[in-house]
Amino acid sequence: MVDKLDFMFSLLEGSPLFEGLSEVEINGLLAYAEVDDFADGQIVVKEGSLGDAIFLLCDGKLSISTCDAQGREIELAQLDRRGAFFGEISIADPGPRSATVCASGSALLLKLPLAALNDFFAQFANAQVVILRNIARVLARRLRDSNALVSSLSSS
Amino acid sequence: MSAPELGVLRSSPLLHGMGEDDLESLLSTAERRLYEAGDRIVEEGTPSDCLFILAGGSVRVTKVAGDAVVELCVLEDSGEFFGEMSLIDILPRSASVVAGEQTRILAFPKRVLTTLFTKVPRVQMTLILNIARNLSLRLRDADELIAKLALENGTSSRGLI
Repeated sequence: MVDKLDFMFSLLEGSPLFEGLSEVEINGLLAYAEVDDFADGQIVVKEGSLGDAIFLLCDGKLSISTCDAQGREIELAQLDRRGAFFGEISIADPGPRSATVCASGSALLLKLPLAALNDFFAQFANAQVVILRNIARVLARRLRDSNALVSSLSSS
Repeated sequence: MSAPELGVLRSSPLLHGMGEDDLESLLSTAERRLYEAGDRIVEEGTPSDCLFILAGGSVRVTKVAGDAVVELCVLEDSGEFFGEMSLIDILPRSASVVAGEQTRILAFPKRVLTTLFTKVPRVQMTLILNIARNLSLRLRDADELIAKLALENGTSSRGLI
């Protein structure tokens, strides 16, 4: 149990999402985290559903897919890096999920439900600014990459 | 305190949800700048230290791609903003911004904003939340555009073969 907590602590501490949080804040956050097991093929989040949690990959592999206009499923990417995260946009923009994520083989995920995060933020106000800024940084980096790709595709 | 400028701030998506008192505090930190058509307001690749809100006129956002300059968008509504990434990211400017006509800008230097954030933390929270929302929307748009362009390029290259 202690090992498991240590592992979760280091997972959160090493994540760009939680960079800059104090040890006390990370421990506070851990109290709101759930750990969920997923079997091969089991859906973690479904495209179009409302985002209500952030997930971090503890172990295993995930497949990210979307449906094309004909309703065929297209795999966009696979995630197998420990600490990889998704759903972070839902904190700032609780719109529909932009893709489906399911387990590819068995997978272990750390889940931070938004409702729990709000309780955490009520307790640690400073952590909210830090986490939001980290999320914005992650989004800004992705947007820079996407804009660079748009420029190169437009000029090609 | 200028009422029209307060109206500009009130209409800005960047400041959505901010109370009147906080908008007034924010306006008190603004530098008023006037640009003529063709003036460069932000230069791609230079360090970023300022947030800008459009108070009149229009600007073009451009980016260098190889030998070409691609226009990413035109901002022409009062309250629209740029340079907001400087508040969350220390990377250099990701695009250039050029005045499309005579243009009035409210500029907020980062060091002045930082002082305000220390005094009124909720201003920082609202700004960052709105920035993240806006980034998320733009990312969704950019990714849709990439999918469309990739499909067009893919189709045309198949056509050539």
